[in-house]
Amino acid sequence: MSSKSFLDKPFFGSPFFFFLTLEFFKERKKHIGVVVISLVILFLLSSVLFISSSIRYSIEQTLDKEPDFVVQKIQGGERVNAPAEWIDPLLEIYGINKVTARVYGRYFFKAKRDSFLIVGVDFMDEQSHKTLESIMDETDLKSFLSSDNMLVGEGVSIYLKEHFYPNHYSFLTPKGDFKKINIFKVLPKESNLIANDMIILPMDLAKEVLGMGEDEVTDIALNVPNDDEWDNVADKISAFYYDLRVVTKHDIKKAYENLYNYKGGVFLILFLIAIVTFVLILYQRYAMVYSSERRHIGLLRALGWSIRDVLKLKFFETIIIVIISFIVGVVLAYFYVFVLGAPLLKEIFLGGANMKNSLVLVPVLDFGVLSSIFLIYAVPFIAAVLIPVWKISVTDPKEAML
Amino acid sequence: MISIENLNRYFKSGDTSFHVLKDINLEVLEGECVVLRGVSGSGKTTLLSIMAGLDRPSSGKLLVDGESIAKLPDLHISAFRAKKIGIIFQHFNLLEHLSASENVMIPLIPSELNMTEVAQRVKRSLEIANISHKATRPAGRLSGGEKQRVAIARALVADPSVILCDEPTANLDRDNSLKFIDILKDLHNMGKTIIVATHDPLFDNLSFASRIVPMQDGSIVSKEQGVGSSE
Amino acid sequence: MEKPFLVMVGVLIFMVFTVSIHYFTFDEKGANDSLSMVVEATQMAQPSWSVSYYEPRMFSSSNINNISYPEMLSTDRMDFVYVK
Repeated sequence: MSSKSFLDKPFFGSPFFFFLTLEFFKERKKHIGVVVISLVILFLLSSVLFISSSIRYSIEQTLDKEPDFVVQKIQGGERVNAPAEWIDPLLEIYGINKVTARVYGRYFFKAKRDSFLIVGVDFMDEQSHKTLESIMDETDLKSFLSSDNMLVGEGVSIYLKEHFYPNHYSFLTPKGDFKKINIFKVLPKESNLIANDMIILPMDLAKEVLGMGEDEVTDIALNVPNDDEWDNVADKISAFYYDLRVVTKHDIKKAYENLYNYKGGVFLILFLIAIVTFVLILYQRYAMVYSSERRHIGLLRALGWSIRDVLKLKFFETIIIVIISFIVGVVLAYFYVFVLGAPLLKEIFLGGANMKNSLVLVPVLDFGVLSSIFLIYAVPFIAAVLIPVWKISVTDPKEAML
Repeated sequence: MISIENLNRYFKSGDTSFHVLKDINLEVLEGECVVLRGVSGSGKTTLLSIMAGLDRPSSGKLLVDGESIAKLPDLHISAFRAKKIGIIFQHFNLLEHLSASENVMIPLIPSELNMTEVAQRVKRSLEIANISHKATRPAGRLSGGEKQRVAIARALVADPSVILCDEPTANLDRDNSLKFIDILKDLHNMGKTIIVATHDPLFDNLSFASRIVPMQDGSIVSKEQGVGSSE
Repeated sequence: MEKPFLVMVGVLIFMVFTVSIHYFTFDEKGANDSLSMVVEATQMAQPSWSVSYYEPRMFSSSNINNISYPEMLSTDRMDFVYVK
């Protein structure tokens, strides 16, 4: 009934715009398939890129707080517990300003099943004391230390509740004793990226649960404020003992940079699938223009349309399809990732073998990546339509209409 | 109005060449109604296509209003078609998913008219073709006669001086063919130059046709016959 | 057909608008602060991978570039060209 409106009441736009919308909506069946397929691919691609850039962004933000060096004891190429006595000589090296003994390890709820990461923290250390105080909303730390208490990540809390340990858990130490520890507080959901499976215990308690000796630590972290001294300090530390390994923050940073880039396996496969699907869409579009649009274009040309007019119509028609698919695909991906928390897809990034992680993904829009997706999608798509349209247009209208 | 001199048209298929139009010479004056008469394969549709600028001659001259259109670039030949020529095809060639009025507006879209002017022109041509009552109906749901009338309205909408009809009654029954001829007479009275390519005997005795040009095997066979009295 | 077109444009603008609202009003600082505090207290910034018992929970080597296939070497390695 649209023609009634155009004959009886004036239309605000130009005849070209009127005809463009007319063709677009009246032939929507022709476009709907290609819009849906493009939309799904754009949705998947953008979702993956949103998740990876969000995680990468959060990690980059936290990386600065990480210690500059980690010194580990090596035996047969594997890391073993380091003696606590290594700490003192390290402190004597000029340029090192903070040395912390780290105690951590995995505790298996059941052998070969789910595990927690137990981290021991020195509550007497001023810095740790302050930060823990703010994490716990300034609750008195003394009451935390007065009995055996722990701070748990959200994933741990949910897991223990599901296994009927809402308030405490009895850890089985390697000596065969049970150690009952109360859940003092759950760490904020926002810290799930790091702390989902984490249990924070006072240092001694952690050592007991992990079965470590009193003079043992997992590894030693230290800071060197002057970046130029990093190589020097690393050499000096390496010279202390034959069985140690120094891991710098640079190494870890590099590992993270590579972690979610497009060269990785999952990304490579996803991009390849996306490219193959795009090629199929383009081929379908190309073939469709040649078969079903041939007569249509021939007719328009016979009725006085120039090649330029036909190309203009098809260009705008294609641009509308591209813009709709792109905006809807990206916006849906945004909602899926940053509002719904990317169910299912998130597990590809964080794994799903252990406890589930309902982390809060910080919205990050990488406009460089988004615009390159748009160009990779839009340019070949427009070309796949305009090239056959142009080829048909330049033939004599009579021939095209046959 | 239209002047054709020694016009030839070859089609090539592989190594063989088909000589479809052979040394055509024809003069059509303004306001004339000329019937190109011949069996199918006689070359009348090809001649019509060349006059419409839909096809190009292999050799010879074709002047419309004193201007040679055989070698005009695309932009000019499209403008020529849009302004001067109205075509009525044998198979109507309507876009089935659009309504009658939307089909009629197609030739006006590249023009610089605004939407109000376009609507006025579409209304007028639908009235002339006597199909206003089906303006909003999709072309796919019109009968053969109605489709023909929409095609006439579309050919008229840009107010062209020449109307070319290619086998206009081939897909119509006798009643609808007679109605079509009536409309053609109205167009003739409006001063349009009309050229009809047909093999339908109904066109043999048109009261308003100036002459019949018989064609056979790509040539105009004998001296043209005058029909009725157009003067 | 201008009505459906305008509706479609309206819907697209609305979608972009809601995304912008969410993006600009998100408490990014709060989320980052929580993470930073945990890192400061524990001195550990390793993401909480949900790994099986036989996979390492923490990586300290620079060669891992894929969580789902940690053994895969990165494609930008050149150590097979240059002798260390």
